[in-house]
Amino acid sequence: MSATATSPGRERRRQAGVLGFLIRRSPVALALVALFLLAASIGPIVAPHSMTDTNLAMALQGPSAEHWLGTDPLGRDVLSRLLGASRVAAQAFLIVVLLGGVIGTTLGLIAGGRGGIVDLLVSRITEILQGFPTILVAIVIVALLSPSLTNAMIAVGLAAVPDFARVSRSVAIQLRDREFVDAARGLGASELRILWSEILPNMIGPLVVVASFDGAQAVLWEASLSFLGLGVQPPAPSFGSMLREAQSFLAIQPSLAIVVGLAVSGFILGLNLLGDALGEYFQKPGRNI
Amino acid sequence: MSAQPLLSVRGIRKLFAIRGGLFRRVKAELRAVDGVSFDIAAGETLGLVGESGCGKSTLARCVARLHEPTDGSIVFEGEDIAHKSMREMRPLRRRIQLVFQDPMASLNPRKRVGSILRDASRIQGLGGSRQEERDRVVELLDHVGLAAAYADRHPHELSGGQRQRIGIARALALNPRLIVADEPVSALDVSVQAQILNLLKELQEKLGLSILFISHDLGVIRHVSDRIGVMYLGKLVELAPAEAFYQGPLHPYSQALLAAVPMPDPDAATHADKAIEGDIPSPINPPSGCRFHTRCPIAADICSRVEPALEHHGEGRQVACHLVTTSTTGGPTGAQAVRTFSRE
Repeated sequence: MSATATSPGRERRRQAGVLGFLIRRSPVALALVALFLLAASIGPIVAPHSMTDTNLAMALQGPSAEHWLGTDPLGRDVLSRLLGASRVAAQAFLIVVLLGGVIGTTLGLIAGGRGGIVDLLVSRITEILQGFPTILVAIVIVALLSPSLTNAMIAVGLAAVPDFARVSRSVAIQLRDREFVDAARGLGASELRILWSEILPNMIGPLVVVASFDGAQAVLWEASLSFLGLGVQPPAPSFGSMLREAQSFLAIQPSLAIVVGLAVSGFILGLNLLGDALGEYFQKPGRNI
Repeated sequence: MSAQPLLSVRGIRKLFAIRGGLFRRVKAELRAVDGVSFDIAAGETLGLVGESGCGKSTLARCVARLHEPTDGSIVFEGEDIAHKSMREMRPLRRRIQLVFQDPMASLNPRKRVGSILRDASRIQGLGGSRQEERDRVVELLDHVGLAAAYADRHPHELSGGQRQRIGIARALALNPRLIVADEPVSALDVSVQAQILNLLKELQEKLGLSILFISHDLGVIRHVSDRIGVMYLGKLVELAPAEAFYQGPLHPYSQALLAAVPMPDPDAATHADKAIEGDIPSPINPPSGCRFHTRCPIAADICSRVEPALEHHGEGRQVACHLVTTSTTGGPTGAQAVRTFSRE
């Protein structure tokens, strides 16, 4: 067997794998999510107007050169507020995925890797968590603490725990008796090391898919809770509170509701399509993130 | 056999409980390995053959202590490791390493070759500086005939033979004394098998390794082994030096196995008369007496009643068969010759 020289070109193509696949498979999803991420990261800086300054004389105007997407009932610039709302939604996404991901994956890894009574216990706990309606838990937490984005998202994050736990548990069960795990045992690796270094890296793909779906859910929940007044508090902008304000003036200025609704739908659609495409990508073996 | 064997296995048994029903009661016991004893000297290769399901892989996993045997002792370098805890085993694992059957499954698909080899030392707390670790990886790759550039590859970018080379390199990373190779070539193409077998032999000579080599393929076993052990349904039925074994196996099961090896020469005598039929019986409810008597072409009355012990027959040969013991003239005689004797 002669050693073939490593060809750098082949190496690079493989590195660009996931991005290349997404560009080919689901450019719309990628564009929507990228646009949103851009809005969330630099939006508040490039916003043409203040997000909170009211100007009742300019209320409920349609799109114009001054206000590209019109103004809301208090005369605030809708584009600027949408950019601000994107950041809020991104925060919701991050809190939920981090909270649900860290707690859920840890629980699932331990349950699946250890099996036995630990698995039984963790599985029941996640089932109980799943039994609570998210909106109720959110209302209780917000009532006990105070209405804020973080508190509302803690509730949604807890609701995401079972999703991450189930996926990581099932992958851990599939992997724990594989030969490469036995090989690590044969080298003297501790169970903790096996979970962390052998099993966890192999579930990144499925976890990324869960994250994109649960993240989309988080954005939707943030909008719902803010719509009900349980999330972000005025005057800070949020998709939910903007929709609520728009709702009262649907007959007078329908473009307001349409613009905000399109923004929310577009982002959630993008995340869901991205999740689908990622799921497809990780179905083939040997694919890395 | 040398005075102090490297590995000395005595009466090892591994039972698996089969649970079922409402309270997961133990419904039955599967006797995967049922009382096996053998020695491996330093620098020696013991080849273990048998049909699938005869317990050879379970035995390998017991010796490498991935399983804890139910009974028996495994004395390695004078220390009984049969019932040591995983924590107690950790330092000993440097000296016993495994090579697995499926090299794709035995390498973590997420890791590059370099990190697979590095982790072997790191797990044991033997990692050094970056440069030392890199040098060690290159050295290991060189041992198994691969260029240093392979350190940056993922397992799925390699061929089957290259993957198994990595599997062997990983086993060598800790400088072991004993390598337990569980069907290391059965997942490979025939042309690649020979390369891997030669590599193992070469490494054994260079590094003075002992190998417990498990296979279902007598041709493969012959190529690497100093001694041969034949397993049937959790028991060792014959243990003999390779040369003597291939010239004339004593146990009827060994004879049947050898007869089943295809001959490339069309004029060679066929051994169709020694072929056995049927499947290996269930290890959950093994046959009485000699476990082979249900398929044995020359089984006598005693075979179904009394279990034969593994007995010495000179020249370092051990056989567990009633019909071989009845022969006394000269050296050991194969069970086939005994048939006439027992008919008289």
